Amino acid sequence: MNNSSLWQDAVRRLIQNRAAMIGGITILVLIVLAIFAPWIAPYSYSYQNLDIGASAPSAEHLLGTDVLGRDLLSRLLYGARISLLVGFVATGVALVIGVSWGIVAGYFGGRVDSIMMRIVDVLYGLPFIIFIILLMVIFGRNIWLLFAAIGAVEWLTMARIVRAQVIGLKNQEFVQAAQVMGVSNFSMFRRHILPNILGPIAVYATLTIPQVMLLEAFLSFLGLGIQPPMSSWGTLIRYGVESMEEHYWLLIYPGLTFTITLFALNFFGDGLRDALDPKTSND
Amino acid sequence: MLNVLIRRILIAIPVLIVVASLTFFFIRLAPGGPFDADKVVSPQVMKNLNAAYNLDAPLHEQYFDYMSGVVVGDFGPSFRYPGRSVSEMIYTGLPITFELAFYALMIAVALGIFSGVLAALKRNTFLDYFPMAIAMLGICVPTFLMGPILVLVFGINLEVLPVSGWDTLSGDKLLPSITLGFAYAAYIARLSRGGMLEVLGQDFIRTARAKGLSEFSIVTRHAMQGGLLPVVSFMGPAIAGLLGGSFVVETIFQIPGLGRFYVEAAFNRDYTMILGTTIFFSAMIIFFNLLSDLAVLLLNPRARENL
Repeated sequence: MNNSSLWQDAVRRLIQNRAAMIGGITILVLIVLAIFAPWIAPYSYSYQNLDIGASAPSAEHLLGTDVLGRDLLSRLLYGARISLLVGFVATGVALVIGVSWGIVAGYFGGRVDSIMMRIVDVLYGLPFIIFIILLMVIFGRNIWLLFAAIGAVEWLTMARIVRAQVIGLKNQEFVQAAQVMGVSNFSMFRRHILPNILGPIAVYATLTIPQVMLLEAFLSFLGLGIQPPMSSWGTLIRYGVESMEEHYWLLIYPGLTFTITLFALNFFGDGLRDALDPKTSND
Repeated sequence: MLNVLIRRILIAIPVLIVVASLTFFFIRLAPGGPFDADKVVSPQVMKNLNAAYNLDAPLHEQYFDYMSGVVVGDFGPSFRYPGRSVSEMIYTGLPITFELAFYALMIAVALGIFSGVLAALKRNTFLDYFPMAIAMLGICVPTFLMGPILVLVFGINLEVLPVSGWDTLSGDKLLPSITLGFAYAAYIARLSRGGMLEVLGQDFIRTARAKGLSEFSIVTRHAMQGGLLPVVSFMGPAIAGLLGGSFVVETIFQIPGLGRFYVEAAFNRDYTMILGTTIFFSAMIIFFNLLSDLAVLLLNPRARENL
């Protein structure tokens, strides 16, 4: 069986999985909305209309306005940019660190492997939420630092998964043949190892995105993440909670948006896993 | 077994020292002194303040002073609340946070294992789909959304439960515990369903069936021991997560626990408080991870062979 037919099989299985497809389409729509937010959004995210204050959903403001008269729909659209950006960028950071770490540890084995994985074990046992809060306190609430900090936390599982995959591949004939031919380590990783572990990496990356978004929203909710006037969905939920007694819509709509997005990402990730690796689909 | 225990403890101690030292020096990197946010004070007052908090000593001396204090449980004075020590605040907040985490964990374990095992036994029926759909909801609705929604429904609209507080009104512990426990119930349900499905397909279960054992004793005596292993190894991370979750839940419900102290300290830049609680939380999490790893070793003979 050649490589492309594996991927074709996977795509076929993915398309048949209705929950995963709905999830995937939802994410695509959200990404498009986020990218074109400045053109789609009816108002600017910082435009205040103090005359109306907090108003319930109406024809002018489809999802209502907050205490300062800012249009909630617009703020949600702009918030999508930040929340999704955090999700993708931080996952990217985690991906780069985790994959390189896992490949090196798995491929070289022996002492290198045991030292590298012992480091992962130790880091696993640490309270990272506390460290991210610590970093935010020390270095100020900077959005790029937030990306890096979250990414630096989420790479551990990726490293473990990649290492296990690489160990499985290492003893196969094609890798040994390449070794005999004198292929350099770097092109071994790039040409022979990486293409064969793309499946599990794609699956885990998709499932990391919602975790990262949760972490960002968690920090923003505590007031330690994205700072006003910028707003992520976590910040919006925070404001929603503060005024939920009188202005329920300020909590309901951001909450709903966030939950739907997490649902979509999780369903798509689960579907991708089932499609690429039918064996583990009973989980 | 004893060997493993000793080795794990020997690893935990240097890790803890590194964490404590890194935190100590990181905090020193923070811009501004701890008294910056207050009114402008004269240089003499500033000097006295620094002397009172031992901030004028050379850095390495401060470090060794602090570390030798930590060993005996003294985390120094709070920068923000004069006259209160960090240890004192930890000891007042900790029992409350522990109580909250304990109730949440009980809810999570009871609800999670029950629905997960049931879902595995009734695979592909309503009793499988329904709890798993709820579990997905539990994973996707974050604590900081779940809490306020529960408050809105039960506290404000139905007025059946108090909206905040801890140990002041009857029933005020219920909403925080459910809020904190629900997400973990969801994870545990998924883990135990997966683990049980794997075990139930194995030969020894078929043998047990062939022997004519009742379904109840097959499940409780044979399948659950192996099937719930993923849940046991999840316990360490779960407790770490519960402590993190307590930041949010204690903030929402205004519970005077350690989690809220920590978030307040982060806001107020109360550096000694942050330092003390970070070291303390790290120690606890390392300890609970150790405990759950050992539990897995006790329950799973195969994991023991690999050591």
